[in-house]
Amino acid sequence: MKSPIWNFASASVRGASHIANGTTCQDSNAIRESDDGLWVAMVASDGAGTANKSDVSSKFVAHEFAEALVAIASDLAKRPPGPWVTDAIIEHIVGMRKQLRSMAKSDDISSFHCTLVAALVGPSGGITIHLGDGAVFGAQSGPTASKALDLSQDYLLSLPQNGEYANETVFMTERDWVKHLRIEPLPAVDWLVLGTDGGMALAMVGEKRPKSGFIKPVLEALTLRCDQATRDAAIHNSLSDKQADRLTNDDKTLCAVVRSKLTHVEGAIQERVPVTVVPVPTASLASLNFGSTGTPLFKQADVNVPDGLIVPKSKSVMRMSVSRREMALLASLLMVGVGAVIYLYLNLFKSPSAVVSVTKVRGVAESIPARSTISVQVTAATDKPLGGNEGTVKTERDADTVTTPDQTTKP
Amino acid sequence: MSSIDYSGNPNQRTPCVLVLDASGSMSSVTSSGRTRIEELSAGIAALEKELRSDDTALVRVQLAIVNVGGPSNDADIMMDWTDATEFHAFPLRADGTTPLAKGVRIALQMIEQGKQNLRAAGISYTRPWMMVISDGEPTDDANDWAAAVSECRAAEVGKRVEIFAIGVEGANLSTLSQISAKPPLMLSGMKFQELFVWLSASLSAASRSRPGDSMQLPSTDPWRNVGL
Repeated sequence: MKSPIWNFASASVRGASHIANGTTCQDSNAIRESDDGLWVAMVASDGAGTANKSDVSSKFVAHEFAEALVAIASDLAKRPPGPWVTDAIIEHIVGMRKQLRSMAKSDDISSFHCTLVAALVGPSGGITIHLGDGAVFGAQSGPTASKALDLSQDYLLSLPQNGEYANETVFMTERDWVKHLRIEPLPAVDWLVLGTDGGMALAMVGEKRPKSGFIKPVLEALTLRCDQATRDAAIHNSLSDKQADRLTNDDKTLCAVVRSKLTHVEGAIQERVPVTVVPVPTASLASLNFGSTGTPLFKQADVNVPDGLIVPKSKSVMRMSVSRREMALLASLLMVGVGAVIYLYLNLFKSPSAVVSVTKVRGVAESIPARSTISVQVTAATDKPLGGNEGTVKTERDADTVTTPDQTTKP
Repeated sequence: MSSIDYSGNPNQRTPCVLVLDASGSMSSVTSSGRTRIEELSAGIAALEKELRSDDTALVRVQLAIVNVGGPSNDADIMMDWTDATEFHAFPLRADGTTPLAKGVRIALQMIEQGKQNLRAAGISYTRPWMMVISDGEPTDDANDWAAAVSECRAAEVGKRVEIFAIGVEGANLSTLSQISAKPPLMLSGMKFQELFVWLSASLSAASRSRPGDSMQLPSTDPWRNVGL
């Protein structure tokens, strides 16, 4: 029985530089709704400009992963959330990588380099999956009884993860992808937006906070009574605005979801620190030696120097035997899996006091089903479901990782 | 320690350190009637001019200079990290030997220090560049040179720096080739100005590049000796 509780829309628009070069749009997205209408899976993927088949892989990844997330949502109707969710996500990513290897007819899938930004949003929470740049943000709408989506509520944010350098990022197609995978529990939200770095160049202020002026009309389109094509067109038009070219010349993708009970948008995003989505602890993995050089493999914006100055690709993958690479992957998978399981178990699934504080503030205890504990990410110390920093774990970043400031002259 | 005030310019930076051979051989007079070091100085003046004509590069490129040889007959920091907006070219003087190993090691240290300063200031950055220009060969102890080569290659493999080696007439290219996996390029005649115009355009491209983009640098034809 389908009883949809979400409105959603998405678009991927070719960037000005890709139009000028005659290259295709290498961004892709996919949105799927669960059969019961309670869950929405959204996936955006940014194919690397340096990878010649990244348009194929971003499309494949977006669609495959959206299907996978909906399958997880369907399982969530039959069994309580638990560590199996994290395992299932990792298994699906491994499965996609296997299929990419098969498509490449090679163990080298660098021609398929792409990022992964995804979320599975349910009635009382969900999960975000993030590997590389792009971002995810969302919030509750305000008083439960209100039909207004109040943007001034505290919001959560999953920040882009680049390599050390501002012009480099990490891809799900890299050998050490698992070190960068961030699977995060999502509190109950009434709206959520995710996208690639091109989309976020428009939807955020300097990769720091959502930009009200851009987000408001996008979310407003999702509160209107109209058909899916009109909603998708609204996002497409926002991304295609001529003024957008001043902010980015990259491909642009956004996916957005809003509770269908909301009828209009009011307020503006506040300039306060967001509740940063807590990552799977990866610090202990940072020292893992994945290759013969022992250095992390960041994909840089390749330097194509003409006339003899060729920047060599890292040979460490090639020097590593298959068995050793597989062993490293399995070991790291195991560590991430165990870490995530412990983390989710300790902090989320067994945190009744946090559930109480959230439900008390929301005043919707009766509306949250028994299995809602997956949605709660707030520590018991705070009574703000999406506010404040108290008790939240700050994002652990690689020692060399730097924050990106406002880039006032970014073309 | 760099004393750059980042408060007025939060843009990401593209750092580039120049390791310049200012040894005695650079004082030899060229066909233009000027010495090599004068030509090199004119090239650096051209770099300043080019950067000032590029609004984006001007606020994003950061430069440092290490002299190898010169009046001090040593390798030393001639100019610590300086934003392009604050960069003013100055004439170089040639003298002494070519302690290139010491020079590149100083440059590598400066790069790490520069990144540390940028991180502390909350400024993001692209991969630093190091351009080594020499007309001779290192006069350091062979062991020192071997150590410098090993540090350069490790830094390159570790993606800590992008190294460009440029030979000027008289340079021992096979020695220069050791510091980078990229083969060194030979400067055509004394086309230092063309070289630095290229460097400015290339740094500009690097400073604008985005994750996953392909960064196409301009052609090296205007200054490269294609016969080699």
